[in-house]
Amino acid sequence: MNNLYKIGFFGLIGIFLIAGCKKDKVGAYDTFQPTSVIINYPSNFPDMYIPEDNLPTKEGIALGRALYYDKILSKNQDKSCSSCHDQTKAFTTYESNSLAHINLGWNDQYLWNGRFEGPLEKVMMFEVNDFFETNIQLLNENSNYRTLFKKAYGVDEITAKDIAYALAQFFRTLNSTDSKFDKFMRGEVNLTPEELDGYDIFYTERGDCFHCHGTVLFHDNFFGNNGLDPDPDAGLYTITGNMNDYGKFKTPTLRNIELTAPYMHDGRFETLEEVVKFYSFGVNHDSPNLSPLMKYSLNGGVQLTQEETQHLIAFLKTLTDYSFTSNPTLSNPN
Amino acid sequence: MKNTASHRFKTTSLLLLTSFILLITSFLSSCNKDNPDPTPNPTIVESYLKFKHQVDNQPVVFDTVMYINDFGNNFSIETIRYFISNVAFVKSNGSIVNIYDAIYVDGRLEAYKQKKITKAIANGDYTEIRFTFGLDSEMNQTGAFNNFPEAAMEWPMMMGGGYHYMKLEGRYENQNMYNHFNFHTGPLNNNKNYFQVALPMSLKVTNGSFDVSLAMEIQNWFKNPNSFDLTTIAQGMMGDQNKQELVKNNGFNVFSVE
Repeated sequence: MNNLYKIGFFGLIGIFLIAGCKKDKVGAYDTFQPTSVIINYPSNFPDMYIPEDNLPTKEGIALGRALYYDKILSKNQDKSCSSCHDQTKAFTTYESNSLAHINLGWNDQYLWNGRFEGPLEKVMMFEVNDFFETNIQLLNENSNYRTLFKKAYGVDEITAKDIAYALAQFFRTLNSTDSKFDKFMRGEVNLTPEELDGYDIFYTERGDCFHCHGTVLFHDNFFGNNGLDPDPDAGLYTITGNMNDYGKFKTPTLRNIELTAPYMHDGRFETLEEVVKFYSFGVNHDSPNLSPLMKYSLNGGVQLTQEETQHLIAFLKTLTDYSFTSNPTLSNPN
Repeated sequence: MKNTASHRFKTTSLLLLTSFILLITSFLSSCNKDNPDPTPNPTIVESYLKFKHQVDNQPVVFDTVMYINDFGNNFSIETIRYFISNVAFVKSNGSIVNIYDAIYVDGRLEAYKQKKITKAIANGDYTEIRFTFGLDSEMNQTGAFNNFPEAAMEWPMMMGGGYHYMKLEGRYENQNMYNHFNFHTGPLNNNKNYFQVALPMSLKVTNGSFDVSLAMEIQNWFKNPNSFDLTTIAQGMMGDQNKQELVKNNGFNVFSVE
């Protein structure tokens, strides 16, 4: 009896020892073998932030792509990401003027008012749970998706997290890095005299666009008030509650700006001509928290001539990336 | 019988206690690989170079026009971002110890108001800190800093490329009107515009680590030797070497060691 007691006791010790190191054990994911993928991008781009628990795989990206284009994502199966975000328009959306899905793998702040910070996974959780209110049961009842999720994440029961993670993987491939301007910087093409003058306007204090829209991503990763209105929309203030953030919005990328009308957080401008005219003559100097970078606001703006305006727009159009808008690996796979 | 039962109970209890101790010991040792090596490594330390930003010797209050500069302009501070590089400490015997290559500072963000340095330095008495305000020509190449926030300090290629050394921004008031000022310094074509700062300090290092605070007195950017009227110098600094030179000459006196 004592021996049995001892055997039982030391058996328990063994179980404890194994359980004590649970964090080291191979998890449920050891039953699947997704194919690792390296996301390639030019060396002058920033390091892409990719969480350790969602490293890119062929299966994960393919799954995210299928979901991006599938109305099963929405509660009533009436819309997908692609219902609004059109690849031929650089994944922008005309209707709601939400920010275009361009190079978001290098972002850590999302939406015009900066509501989400962190990796893409975080904002994708919002999209699944709150924006689309995805009926996850429907995905679990779909044998095709059950197979795809099993292959990508090794799961038998699909969760909101799995959906968000797959979407994040696809978003990290929505990369625009090969515009005419990129080719010019690599010495592969020339710019026209008009484009070159626009380039000079953009990158000098003539137009002073570069302070907010500089870097290879054509934004500065900050928030600012560009003086659209004397009484602006709240913007970042709605998130921080700090009055000094009132009227500030996320600086959008200018890559593919030719295709991503309408412009500004509220989509008030239909054309680039209207936008440049605003920065030339329409800046409201007395808008609260107006960015110090709106250097010429006392005079309404940078006051570009008609010719300079056209040259600047010609330059902005060199940021259009047709290899992005026609990339077959980003199109509807369904 | 009673004694025997009691003895058995005691033996069993002792066995249980011993087993429990063994269990705990085994449990801990089995996960040993997750525990840090208890032996301290003398070459790895936690040293800090901290950056403080002051106006009139008080911590800067951002976004409020509440200060008066030497010339008499009322002003506020909204942005203070800059690079220092080639940071080195000088020992009392004259030997120089390199501390860090390039440090980006943002006066508004805690994460960029201190630099953690893990490499231990030699013990002894240090009497001076030296650094370059800005980035020297070797470091200041477009593409050297691809990641945010440093990348956003970019200085246009047509002005020589590289990065801004400093963005000091705010607003000033003049006759019931306000306007912005942008002290943007950097390399303008062939003019390097970075400069060397050497400050006395009294630092005794005994365990390879240090905690040194550099304080920037923002008022000093506007005076000594050049007292600036912000209405005349506030804008167009990037492309104006004369303004770059004037600001640079004020920069030698803005830092002190705390």
